[in-house]
Amino acid sequence: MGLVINNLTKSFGKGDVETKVLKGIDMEVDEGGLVILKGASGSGKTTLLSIIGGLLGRSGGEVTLNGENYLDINEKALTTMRLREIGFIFQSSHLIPYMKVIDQLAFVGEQAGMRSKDARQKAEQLLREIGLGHRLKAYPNVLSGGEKQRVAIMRAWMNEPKMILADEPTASLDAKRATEVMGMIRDNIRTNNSVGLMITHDERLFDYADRIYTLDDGHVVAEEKTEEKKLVHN
Amino acid sequence: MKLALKELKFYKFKYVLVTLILFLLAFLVLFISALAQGLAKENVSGVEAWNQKYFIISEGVDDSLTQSNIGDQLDQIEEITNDGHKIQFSRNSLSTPDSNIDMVFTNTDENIVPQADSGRLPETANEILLNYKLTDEGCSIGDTIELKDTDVTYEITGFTDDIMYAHTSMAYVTADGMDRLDRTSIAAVALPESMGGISDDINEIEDIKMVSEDDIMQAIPSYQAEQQPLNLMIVFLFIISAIVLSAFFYVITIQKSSQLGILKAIGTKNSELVKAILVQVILITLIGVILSVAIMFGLNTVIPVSMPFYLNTSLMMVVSGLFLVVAFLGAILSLVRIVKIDPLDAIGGE
Repeated sequence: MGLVINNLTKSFGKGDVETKVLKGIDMEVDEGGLVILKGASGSGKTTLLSIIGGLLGRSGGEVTLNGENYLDINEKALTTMRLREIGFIFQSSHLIPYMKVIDQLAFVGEQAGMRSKDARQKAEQLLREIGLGHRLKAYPNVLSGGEKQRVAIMRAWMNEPKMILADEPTASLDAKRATEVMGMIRDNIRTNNSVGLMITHDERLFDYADRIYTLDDGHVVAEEKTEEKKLVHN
Repeated sequence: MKLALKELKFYKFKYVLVTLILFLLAFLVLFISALAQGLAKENVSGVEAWNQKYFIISEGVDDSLTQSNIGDQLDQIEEITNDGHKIQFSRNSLSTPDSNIDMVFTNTDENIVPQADSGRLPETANEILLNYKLTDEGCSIGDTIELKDTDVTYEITGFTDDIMYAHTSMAYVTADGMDRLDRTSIAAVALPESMGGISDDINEIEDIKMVSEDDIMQAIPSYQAEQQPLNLMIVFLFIISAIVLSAFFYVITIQKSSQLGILKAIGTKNSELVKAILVQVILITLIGVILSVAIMFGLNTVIPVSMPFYLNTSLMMVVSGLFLVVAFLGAILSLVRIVKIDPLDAIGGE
């Protein structure tokens, strides 16, 4: 079933100062699918991602994940949902400076109820898979930008979430690292049969998505399937 | 817990500085408290040593033992009760090896027996038990000391801690020993708590009254004058500590708002973050306070006995407990801030 968004609206302020940021968004992301959101600054991309991630309330409409209208649960349950079922990847890696690489992941696992030993084992396994086995006990301040972002991606995956939300995850990376990281995100979504939503302006990455939505002034103004786009390009 | 400890470990220098400030504040509070206690002991420890609840003294002497003389009413008092301790008072100067010292002489009797912390109690008319502070004047057990400008001498049989009245050291001699002194009077009859019921009968007797132990202490002029400003200082130090700690913890929380927002965004509960801050506050406070208590006890062993300085376990526990409460109050502002942090601000939402 994946993620289904129906007529989602969001306004800030009331009366004369009311600003409508999202004006009825309809969108679908299948399980195992990755969708890219693009659009000019202020088009509502991050607001949309924040609402889907349960970080911001909506004004109207409905969002369901695998048939469940999860945004109407209480704040505490929503926090637990963010921990267990949503993985965030931010533009900056936003690692916790005082935690070693392995602890960045293990902490998230422990928070979700894993035993400390199991969480560390899984964290180590994930980090070795992405070539960071030699950095397990390093603090973020000694990692390169690419290494930090790879740790952040694995942190998002630690609890095997049903949905990955990424906001410009490759913005701080060079082209080679960006495609590497993108491939990693794409593969993980497919392998785990989860749902992926990503904001990016980097056209080189569009081919990794199943579908691309273009937002403008709070509306979806274009929806493209990547295969069709490839055909056009060819 | 892990979150709190990992942060403390990583930012060692920052938190060591905070602990140091906390240690200095706790040390200052403890030091002034010990001074206040020491000064209080110099005023009232002699009265406390009697361990009696009520005192029959002269009327019109502002409850002052040194001015009271109930010798004329003693027969009438004994018609009501014979269980009291007749307290004789005599102000005299002793010639010690180093100087002349004003002393308050008082007597032992079968009802009230002071505790000799070293040596033994006086048993004959020419023996004397002195306040421990006199050791600082060169007095030792077995020495013979002389009353200034007289031929009256006493042999020191022992010392006891903390027997002073209005900053004057006290000396215990036997009733016969008191007879060897001039200007001796029966200043009061001390009664245990069980004798409270006879107060109406006592107050019927002309020129005397029955007062409480607390009345006697409060009537010592230097006691009130010293305790009030010192206690006020301690209260203000606690308030200042609360403000300083509050500012420290709040600034630290603001500095890490972004990290806290990220932790919230990835699903860390407010309760977990609040717990982490509380663990840090309690740990830092405990280390600071334990360190200051240890240094205070060390200091206590080297401070001269003549200095008014008194440490006891209950005082340490009360002050340490209060410091934990103050640190907790100081952290409240930070806790409120943590709960209000919006993860969206941290990740830069539109």
